[in-house]
Amino acid sequence: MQIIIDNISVECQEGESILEVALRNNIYIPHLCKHPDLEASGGCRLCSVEIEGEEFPKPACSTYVKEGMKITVRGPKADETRKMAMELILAGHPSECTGCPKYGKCELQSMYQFLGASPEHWHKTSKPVPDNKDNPLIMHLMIRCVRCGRCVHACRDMRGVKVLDYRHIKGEIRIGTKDGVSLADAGCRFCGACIEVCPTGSIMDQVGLITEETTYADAVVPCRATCPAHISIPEYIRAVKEGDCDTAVGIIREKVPFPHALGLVCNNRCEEKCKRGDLNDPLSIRNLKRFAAENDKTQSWKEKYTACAPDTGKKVAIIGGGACGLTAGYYLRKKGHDVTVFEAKKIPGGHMTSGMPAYRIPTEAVLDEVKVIEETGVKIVCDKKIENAAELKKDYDAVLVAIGTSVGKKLMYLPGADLPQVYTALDVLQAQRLGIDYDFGQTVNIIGGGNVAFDAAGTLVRMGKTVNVVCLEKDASQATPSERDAALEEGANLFDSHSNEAILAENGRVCGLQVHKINSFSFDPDTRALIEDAIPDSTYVIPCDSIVFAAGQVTGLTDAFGIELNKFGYPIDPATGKSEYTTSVEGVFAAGDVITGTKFLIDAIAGARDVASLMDKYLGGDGQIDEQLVERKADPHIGRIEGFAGLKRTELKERDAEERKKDFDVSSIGFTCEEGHCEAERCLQCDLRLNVSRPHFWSDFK
Amino acid sequence: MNSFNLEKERLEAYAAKEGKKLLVCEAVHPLGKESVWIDAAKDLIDSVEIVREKIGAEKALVLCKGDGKAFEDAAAGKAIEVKTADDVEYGMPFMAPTAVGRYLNGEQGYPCLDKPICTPDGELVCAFLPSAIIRLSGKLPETREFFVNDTNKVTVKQGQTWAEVAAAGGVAEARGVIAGFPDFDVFGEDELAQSFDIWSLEGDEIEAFDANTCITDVALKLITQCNDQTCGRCIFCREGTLQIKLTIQDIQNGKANMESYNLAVNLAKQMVHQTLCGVGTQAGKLFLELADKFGKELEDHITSKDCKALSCKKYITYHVLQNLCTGCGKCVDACDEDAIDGKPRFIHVISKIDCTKCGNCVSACPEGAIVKAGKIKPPGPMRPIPCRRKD
Repeated sequence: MQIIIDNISVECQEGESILEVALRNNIYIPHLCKHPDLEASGGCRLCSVEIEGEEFPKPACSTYVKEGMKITVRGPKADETRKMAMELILAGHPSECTGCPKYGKCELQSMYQFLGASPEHWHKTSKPVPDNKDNPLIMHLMIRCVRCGRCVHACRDMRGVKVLDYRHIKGEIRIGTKDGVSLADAGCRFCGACIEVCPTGSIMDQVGLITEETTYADAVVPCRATCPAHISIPEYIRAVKEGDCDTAVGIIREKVPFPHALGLVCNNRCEEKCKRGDLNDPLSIRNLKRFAAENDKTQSWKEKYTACAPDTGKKVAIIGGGACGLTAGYYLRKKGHDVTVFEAKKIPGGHMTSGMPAYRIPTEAVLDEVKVIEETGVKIVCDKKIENAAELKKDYDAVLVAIGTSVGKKLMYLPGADLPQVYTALDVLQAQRLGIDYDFGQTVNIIGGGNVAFDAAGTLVRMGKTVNVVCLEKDASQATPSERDAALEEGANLFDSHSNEAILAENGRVCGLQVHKINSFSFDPDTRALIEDAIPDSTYVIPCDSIVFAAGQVTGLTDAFGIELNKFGYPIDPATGKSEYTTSVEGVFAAGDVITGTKFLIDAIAGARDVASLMDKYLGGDGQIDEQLVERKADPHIGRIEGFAGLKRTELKERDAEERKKDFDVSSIGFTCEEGHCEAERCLQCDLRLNVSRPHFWSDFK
Repeated sequence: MNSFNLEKERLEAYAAKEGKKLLVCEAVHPLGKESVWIDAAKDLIDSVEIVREKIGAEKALVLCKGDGKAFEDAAAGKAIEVKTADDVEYGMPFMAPTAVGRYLNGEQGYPCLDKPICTPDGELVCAFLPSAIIRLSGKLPETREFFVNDTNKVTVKQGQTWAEVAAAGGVAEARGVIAGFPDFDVFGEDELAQSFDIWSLEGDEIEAFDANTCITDVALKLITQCNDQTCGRCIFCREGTLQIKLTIQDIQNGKANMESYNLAVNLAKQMVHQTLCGVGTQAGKLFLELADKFGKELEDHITSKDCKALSCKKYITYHVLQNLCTGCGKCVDACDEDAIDGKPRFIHVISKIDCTKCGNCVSACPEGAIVKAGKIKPPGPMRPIPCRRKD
């Protein structure tokens, strides 16, 4: 049907409100209590318009179109109503805008400036209301509230949570919880919809959550922003909650090709930023990823996942078949390039299959994920060590150096470090995982107190060895407590606050580690030399048959590799003097630990994505590697969950120490379906906020 | 008064609708008082039954506060359920079936846009006040109960005059009557001899006042009732009732001028049309009718600083009548402010500066020698002088 607004004839349909039709046709009608996603409440009367044949102005938000209706937006009667309504709203609102955190982004401010309204003729009715900053994540600064009811509608109708409502409080109407209880006690799900729809600065994110440094979306969904690969965490957790692990894995795979591996060993920095942590404990994001990967029955994502762009005719060689090399290889193959991955060891997977304990990340789990990559047509050549990247480049259009840091470091200044039974933690892990035979003897002393030391300890315990971990730090504080305790429970011995003097030998074979005890230690800030407060006369010997250094890893590269290196053996780009994706040889790229030093699996994968995009552009592609694999649902109506704020984090269960030390099977037990569902349900679903429409400002209209 | 046509229209619309319908009778007194309808439970229930059949509802629901036994007894054997709605946070906004619908859905009873609301069982909610139910049933009893000035329960016969009702309620020489909450109609002195149709009134409250009551006090009381009942959604109700209340207080305190008074009148005009339920609409209408019928009295306060009822403290002073004062000093003892000067057998004098107009001295004086005065002040000395009265 047709109606006429301000002499302009516009098309509309039955059931539409005058406001909807006007805004769609670029005709601005001021409005406040009506939000694009919410039902009109019809109380603010700022959208008053004159309708021919009607004696009094009508609210455009809640007056529905009729054939031939003639509407005047700014007629004298409508303007009188609108102006008085705005004056009355302002009468109950603090007069000072400066200092308000919403200044400049406030709908009310924008609108009263547009209307030129001021409350000076009216009684000032704004009463002091104390700010409530006691709730986690959400601040109530209700002195600014204009009772438009948008938060009430968002909380009740859009979300179905029913926490906020109009209340009679201290002789006036305010928005709040029933009986003024805390948001947590009222059943709030901290989804933030109320913040999103508030036109003033009355309901806001707690100070510090939204900053200028990050984009709004990153600030609202910090888990996704923190993940180096930006996996869409809330979306896959929602899929897990719905019991749809296939979709969850599809969402994860949009960013990373190793969901299961990450689900087992990722260092989950996302959890540190999880907003749920402000309520009680963060979501167990990593374990939900594992749960999804282990319950991905139909692999519905796979067809799209393995489909590649038409062949470009370009050849790419990747040196190193670890997470970085394989990830980059996958994306480059997807872009239609011919990819060959060269791996020095006998199986692909890098640290995943030879640098971490099998009881954390089983080889088959990794190889299953590698197989998917191979299905795209990536060729993997194992047992092939590339000696010179520059030489290799002559046969390929592009080369990626992704060899990681796969050589363990020994502290050669320690007397006896050159003895034959002195190994590194990597040697221990490779001995077990690749079946290499080393002479460890029965008792092994591990020097070092980080996570890798305890990885080696756990592995050696399972190999039937007696293990002593010797480190400077009290309680081996460098290691993650859970990883340390797991190894100690399994029977490893800890010699903390110990400093090493020498590795002792008898008949040319290691027989002990001479140590002394210390009270404390530090490092000289200039020379990085160790300064220790030793306990006098505490020197003694911890007997052993071999020594294992867990003192970090290096690239092991030399100039013979054909690209420029810094003094520590890391490739550099001579243009900047730093380790970059680009190297001294054009067309030879580098990524992963080999440029960053030993970092985490997710960092290697994130780096691989970046370098793949860069290399694709180098090869003439558009560098676009993002792909939507699966459809997702995001129901804004999240409903009530009793006791939501108090729902406890589900921790992963470990097998009994006495049991698990007997084999190399995964030591932790993945979530049951019930645990997975319960844990996923704890998610605040912060991302839903980004789906809430932004209201229209008058400046958006012509 | 006379929303009857609207109600009839609504009733007919409900009757024409397909599907399950639920007739609701809102016997919750809007001010949280015990309903007068308890005494007329049988009449009400009979009418509910008639209206229920008219719209074709299988069931009717009577919402009340407190003890619903009288209704239950009357409803025995009928398809009428009685539900005590003690958890209603404020009086259900009347003339807004959507508010009742929301309440039945477990929400607060506040009005939303006038579109049909169904119960969780899928019944369309048709809600009316008891008086409307009686009118719609067409079965009008000869008498009806009202509260006069809040507490005096009066049985009014069809055809009685306003003056008679006021007198029955304890106001013998009324100069005005207001058909009270929630539907206001104001009647001035010249209208009190008229008889009225008892079934034309929505509410069960009648406010009657005589020459000793200032119109500002009546206005303030009724507007405050509205302000207390506002659910907060409509700016013209929430802020409008508050602004008018503050303006009335300004009139009482000498702070109002004609500009602010006219602003309040203009506001009231907007309130009548720009709110979602009867609370805001009726508050606006009340103030407009007061301005119409008692405008002169209100304006006298503003322009002549005159309160003829001698009620607004700002416009009155207390005086000791020199021919009656015996200088006993009892007024001095009663005054908390030390505002009365005098000594034995001297005519006492009240300080205009220190007097807070509490009136304690008036009741303390055994001679009736202390009086209130408006514009015309009784003669008296500036400071205590020996008494003239020779007993």
